[in-house]
Amino acid sequence: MPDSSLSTADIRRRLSVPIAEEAPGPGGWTRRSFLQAVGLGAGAAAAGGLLHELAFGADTRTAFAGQPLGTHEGVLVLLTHYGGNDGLNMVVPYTNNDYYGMRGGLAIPANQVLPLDGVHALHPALSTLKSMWDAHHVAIVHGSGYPNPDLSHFSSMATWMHGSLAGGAITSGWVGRWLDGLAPDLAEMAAASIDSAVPLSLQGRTRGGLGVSPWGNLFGADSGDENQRMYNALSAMNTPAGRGPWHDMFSSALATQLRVASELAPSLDPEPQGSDLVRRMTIAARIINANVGLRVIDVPHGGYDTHEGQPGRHEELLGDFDTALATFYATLSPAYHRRVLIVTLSEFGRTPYANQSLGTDHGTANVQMVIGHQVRGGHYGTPPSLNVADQWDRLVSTLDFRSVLGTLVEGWMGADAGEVMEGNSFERLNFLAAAPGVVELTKTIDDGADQSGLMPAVRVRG
Amino acid sequence: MDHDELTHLLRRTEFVVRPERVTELSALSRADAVANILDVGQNGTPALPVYFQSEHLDHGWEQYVAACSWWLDRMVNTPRPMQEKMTLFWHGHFTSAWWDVGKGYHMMLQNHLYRQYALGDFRQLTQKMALEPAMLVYLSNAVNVKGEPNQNFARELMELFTLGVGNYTEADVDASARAWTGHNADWPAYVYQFRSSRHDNFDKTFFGTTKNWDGPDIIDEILRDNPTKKVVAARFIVKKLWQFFAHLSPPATLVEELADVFLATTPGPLDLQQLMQALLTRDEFYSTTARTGLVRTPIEWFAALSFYTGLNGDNMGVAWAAEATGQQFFQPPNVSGWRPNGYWLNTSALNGRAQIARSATWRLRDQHGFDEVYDMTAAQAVDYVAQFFGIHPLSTATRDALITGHQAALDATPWVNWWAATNLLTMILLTPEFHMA
Repeated sequence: MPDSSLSTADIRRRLSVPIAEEAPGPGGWTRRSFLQAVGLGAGAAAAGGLLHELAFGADTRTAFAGQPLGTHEGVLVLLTHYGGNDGLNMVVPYTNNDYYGMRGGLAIPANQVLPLDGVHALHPALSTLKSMWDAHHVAIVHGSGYPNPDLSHFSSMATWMHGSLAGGAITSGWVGRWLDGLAPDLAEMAAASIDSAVPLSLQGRTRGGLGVSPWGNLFGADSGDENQRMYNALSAMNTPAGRGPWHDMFSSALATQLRVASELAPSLDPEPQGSDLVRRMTIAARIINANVGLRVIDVPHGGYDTHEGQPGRHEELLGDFDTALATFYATLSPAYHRRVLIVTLSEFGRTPYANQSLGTDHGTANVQMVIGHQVRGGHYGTPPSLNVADQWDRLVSTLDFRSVLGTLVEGWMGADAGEVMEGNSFERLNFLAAAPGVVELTKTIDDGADQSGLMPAVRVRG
Repeated sequence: MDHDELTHLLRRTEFVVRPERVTELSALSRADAVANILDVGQNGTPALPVYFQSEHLDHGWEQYVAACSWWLDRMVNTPRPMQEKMTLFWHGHFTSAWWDVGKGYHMMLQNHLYRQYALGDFRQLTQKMALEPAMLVYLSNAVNVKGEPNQNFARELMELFTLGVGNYTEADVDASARAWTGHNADWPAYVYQFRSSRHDNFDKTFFGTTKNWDGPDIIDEILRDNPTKKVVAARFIVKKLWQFFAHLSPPATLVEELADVFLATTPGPLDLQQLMQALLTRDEFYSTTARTGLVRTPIEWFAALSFYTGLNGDNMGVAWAAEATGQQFFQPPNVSGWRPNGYWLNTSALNGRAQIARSATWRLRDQHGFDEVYDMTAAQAVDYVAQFFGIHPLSTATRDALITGHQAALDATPWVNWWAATNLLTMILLTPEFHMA
C-alpha cells in the first residue's frame, strides 16, 4: 500500500499547495491584479513609496477590506475527517444482522445507539447531532464514493479534493475553481483554511484560499500606532522588485497576511478554548460572525485511520466532533443560522469486516452529512449492501462523490456545478430546504420513523 | 571570483555569507572556491553526541528539542556547512519522520548516516539508508515478510528515491517487495535483522531478469547494473539536486550533461562530491533564473536568523515555533519530503515566520541590540541593518518602503526612538530579501 505510513495530518500537507514547477501566475497569490484594478500596476510601483502613500492613504490595508456578504449568500464549512472515517459506526445500521456479524466486538450494541428510525442510529457519542437530526437539520447521504477506488489515503483524498473525474494531473481543487469564477473583489477573501497549510481543495487554477493560523496570535493585528506604521511599510514592499517572481510572491503573501490579520484578529480574541477541533470550529464561527466575506471555511479533523483499537479512539473522535458542532452553533450568531451549512467528508470509509486488531482497514463508500437550518432533514442516497461475502470485500458505492459537493456548489454557493466539478454526469440531491437566508415555512420533513428509514434521492436534474 | 557570484554560491551552499569565507575565497577561481566549499573533511569526523544514541523513554520531547537545536547549531557553526546542507537534502529525500518512527535516536542515527555520506558514493548511501532502522520502520520493511509482502519501501525506492514514476511496472514493485522480505528490524530495539526464515527465496522477475533477487540486489540493479535504469536514476537525482540548489526548472540538456558527469566519476560512478563540483561550477548556476529562483525554507531561514542574531535553537524555541512555519525538523510532511518555494508562501505560514521574527527582535532589543541606529538617518539605518543581515543592497522597492516607514516612525516619536529601531529590525527580518535563498 503506498503511503501507508502517512499520518492523516501528513496526507493533508501532501495535498497542500502543489509543487510549483513554474513561477506563480498573474492571478492566484499575487495581488498584482488588484493593484492594477486600483490604478497601481507595475508602472506605478516604480514611482516608489510616495505614490503608495497617496493612493492608499494612512492605512494601506483598509484598501483591501473584506466585502460583507449579501444576505442571500451561503457560507459553507467543510469539515474533513482525515484518515478514513468509519461511516458504519457513525451511522449504525443497528437492526441489520449482517452488521453485527461482520463487526463482532467492534459493533455498537443496539441498546447503546441513538436511533434515528427503524434502520439507522447514530453512534452514542453524537448527542448534539442527534438533537439536530430531531430538529430536521441533518441530511445523511449514503454510499458516496468514486469509481475504481484507490485504497491509498493520498490518492483518495486527492480525488475528493479535486472534486472532479477529469483525467490528467490533479492541480486544482473544487473550492479553488469556485474561487476562480468569483469577481476579483469578492474572491480576495472568500475561502480560508483554519490551518498552517492550505489544502489542494482550496487551490484554483488562478486563485487560492487563505490560511488562518489556528494558534491565533496573528502578526498584523496590533492596533497601536507604532505597529500600524510597521504594517504599512511591510505592505508597501508589495510591488514588483525586479528580483524575480518568488521575491514578489513573498511580499505579496506577507501583505495578504497583514490584511487577514487585521480583519480576523477580533475573531481570535479571547483565545478559543477546548480541543484542537473545538478551537478551530470556534474560530470558524467567529470569522463568519465577523462578516468579512468568507464563504468557504475549511476545517481539518485528523486521526480517523483506526486500524487498531478502534472502539475507544473512534468514540473519542466522534465525541470531539459532536462537541465541536455544539460549540460552533453556540458561537455562531443566530443571524447566520440560515446562512451556514456544514458538510462532512472523508477520503474513504472502512472495511465492513473488523480486522484482527479490533480495527478496520481502508474501505470505499461512505456516509456524508450536510448539517444546518436550511437542510431538509432525512436520508439521501441508497446505503450500500452489507451482504458482503468476503473479509476483504469493500462496500460498493451507490452515489457519485460529486453529488453532495456539486449540489452545494449549485444550490448554496451560487455557481455552475458542471463547470466547477468539471462535468455534469452526477445527480443533484434535494437536501436543501431553502436558499441561504430564506425563511422556509414549509420545510419538508421526513424522518422515516415508520418507513424503510430511507427517503429516495430525488433527481433535480442531470 | 566575482563577488556577486561568490555570495550567491555561499548562500546556497553554506546557508549564509560569512565574511571570513568571502575573504578566504574571493581570490580563488570558481572551481577552486567550489572545491573549498565541498571540502567537508575540514569538519573533521563529526560524532553524534551520546545523548542522541539511545532512547530516553521519559524524555522523548526533550530529546527532540535538543536534536533540533543541535542540528541547527551545526548548520550555523561548522567550518564547512555544505555538509549540513547536504544532510538536509538527504533528510528531505530519503525521508523518515521522528514521530512516526517513534524512536528519536534512530532518527538521529539516520541523520548521522546522511551526514557521513553527505557527499559520498550515492549507491553506498542508498544501500545503507535501506537498512537503517528508521527507514525500516518508516516504510514498513520492518514487517515485510514472506507470504505477506509489504510494498511500501519497494514502491518508494523507485518512485521517490531513485527513478520516478513511469520507470517501473507494478510487477517490478511486487518483485522488489518480495526481494526485501526478511530485511526486518527486531522489536523493541529496532535493530536491523535479516530473518532468513521470513525471506522469500523463490525466483522473482525484476526489470525482465528472473532470479532469486535479494533486497540489496535491487538497489545495485537500479544504480549500477542496469544500463538503462542507472541513467534514469542519475538524471533523477541530478534534477532534484539542481532544484534544491539552483532553481526549479532545469533544462533537460543540463540535467543530462550533469548526469553524464555523475555516471563517469572516478574511481567509481555516482560520486556526489564530483557531481556537486560540476553542478556548482556551471554557468547556469549563476544565471538570473538561479539567483532569484529559490525561497529559503523555514529551516534555512532559521539558520540565517541564528547566524546573524547569535540566538541558538533553544533561544528561538525552534522545536515549538517551526510547526507554524510549516517545516519541522526531522518531521517531513510525508515520504515525498518538503516542497519548494510556493509551498511556504501562504498567509498562515508567513504568520509563523513573522512571530519568530518578532520574538527574535524582542530578545535583541532587550539587550540593547541596534541602539546605534538612534543616531542615523532613516536611509542610513535601513542600509545599516540590511548590511548586518547580509541582504545589502536591498531592492529599490523594499528599500523605499522601509525608509518611508522608518522615517514615519521617527517623525511620529521624535523624543524616543525605541519603537522605531525595534520595528525596523522586525521589518528587515520580514523583507523578501531575507527570505530568498
